[in-house]
Amino acid sequence: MKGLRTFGLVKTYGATEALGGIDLDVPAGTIYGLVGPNGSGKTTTLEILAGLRRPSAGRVDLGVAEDLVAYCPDAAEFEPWLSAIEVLDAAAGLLRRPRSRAALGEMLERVGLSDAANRRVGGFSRGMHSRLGLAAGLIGEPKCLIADEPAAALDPEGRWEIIDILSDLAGSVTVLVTSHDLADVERICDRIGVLAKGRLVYQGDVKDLLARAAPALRVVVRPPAGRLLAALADAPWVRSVKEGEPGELRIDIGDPRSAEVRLPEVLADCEVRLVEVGRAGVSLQDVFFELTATGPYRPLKARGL
Amino acid sequence: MGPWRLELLRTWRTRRLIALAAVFLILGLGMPLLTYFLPEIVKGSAAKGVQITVPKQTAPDAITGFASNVAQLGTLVVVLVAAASLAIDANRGLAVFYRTRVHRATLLVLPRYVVVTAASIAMLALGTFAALYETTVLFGTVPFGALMIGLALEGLWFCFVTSVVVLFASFIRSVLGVVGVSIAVLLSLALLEGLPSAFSWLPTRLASSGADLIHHSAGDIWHAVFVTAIAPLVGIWLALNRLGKREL
Repeated sequence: MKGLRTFGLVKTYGATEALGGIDLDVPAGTIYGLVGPNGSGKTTTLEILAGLRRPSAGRVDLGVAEDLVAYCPDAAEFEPWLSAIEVLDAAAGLLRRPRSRAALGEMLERVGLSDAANRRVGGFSRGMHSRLGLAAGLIGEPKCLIADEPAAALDPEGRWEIIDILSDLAGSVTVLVTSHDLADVERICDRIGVLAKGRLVYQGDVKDLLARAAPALRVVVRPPAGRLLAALADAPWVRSVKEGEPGELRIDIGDPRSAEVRLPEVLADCEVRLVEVGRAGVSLQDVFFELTATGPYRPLKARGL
Repeated sequence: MGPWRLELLRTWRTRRLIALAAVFLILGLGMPLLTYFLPEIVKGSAAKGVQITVPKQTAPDAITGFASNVAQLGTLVVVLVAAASLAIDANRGLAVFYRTRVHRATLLVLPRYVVVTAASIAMLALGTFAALYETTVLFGTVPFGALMIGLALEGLWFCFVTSVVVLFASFIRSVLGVVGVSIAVLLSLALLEGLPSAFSWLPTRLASSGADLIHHSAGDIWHAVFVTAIAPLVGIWLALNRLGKREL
């Protein structure tokens, strides 16, 4: 089984460029998270991979036969006059891989829909549609699964169930998944691609991305911290500083060496009552905001990541 | 569940088969009855002092009434039902479901075309037999052979009508758009066919051929039969080419 790759994928709509030369590299059997703000080109990329749109330039190598690729759209829809088990039966039948009723029932159980197996889909909630969409994708035993926001419509418990199902596929199925919940991506994805304005601004292992992220410190003082906040904001080695809870500061460091030398000095000058100093945890969300310049307390200068 | 069974289920569960059956049965049972009581109806609606003479109604008149309504109302219903089935990309979410599983336009379109056309012809036959029964009961014998040839030609006309719908569904996404353009084209053909003999080969010639055959006035219809048999093949071929290339 080969991985999924794209080569210089371009998609334009008239004068608008939706994708500006995307080179995805999704190794076989990995779970790859494609993230980016709204309008960055995620769905367009996925629809090209699923064969629903044609690229304006570039090419796609799915790594497996076309009928071994399953696509789960973000808003899955089915014929309202079919029951859930009939939807799976039709999904398998259209792929010419008919399944036994027992196998269809097992798949529904796997996505938590066994109680609704014989109910018409027309009465399903959006979350149930999402679960059924994943089941309809998996029923054909694909070797490559492309899922657009598979857990977006689900409650927290449902999210965990779907994320668990996806993570179980690692090793046997190449999974390309988009999600707005970066915690999910961080939890299940081996690799990540960050799209911004139709361009891939980062591609690589999640842990490498986190390791390359800006160093940050967490400083806790007895409130008020206004004077310290102002002093840090003026310090040349600080890229940004914000106060979360009263007295809890997160400082993004531009020059780590200067920070180690100067921070005690600033704390002393401001005569604050220090409670704690430590390294702040870096989340994928922080890195995402930085790469795509969409965060609440950015923009930041380009960092050449 | 393969695509053929899925289409049969679609026709049944969406009640499109019932809609077709209802229309053709109402026409089949209603038109002979209306023809039978036409003199009384006309007399009853005439103003006082006005005398209207209505010729005695016959079995061919009853069948003509049925066939004329099939050509108009029947065709309209077939266009509506066919467009609802054949506008594959009208609902984007459903189109994603089908297009990511069926990668050849032929497998996507042919089951829908064949099932909806067969259902239309089957319900036309049901209506025709209802008309035959009712006419026989009310008027006496009906020329059975002519009626069956008329049924076959009107069935061929429906093959053409649904192929027109397939063709425009490959250009237009919305069901209403497909219905509107298909009806406009069929009406235009009917208007052309009404002109002197230059357009007598048009498929619309077959739309009410049952009535012409009953009256032994069908004339030379073989050119129209030939064109109507070939046109669906061309229309479907064009539609398949177009749908295969269309992005969602």
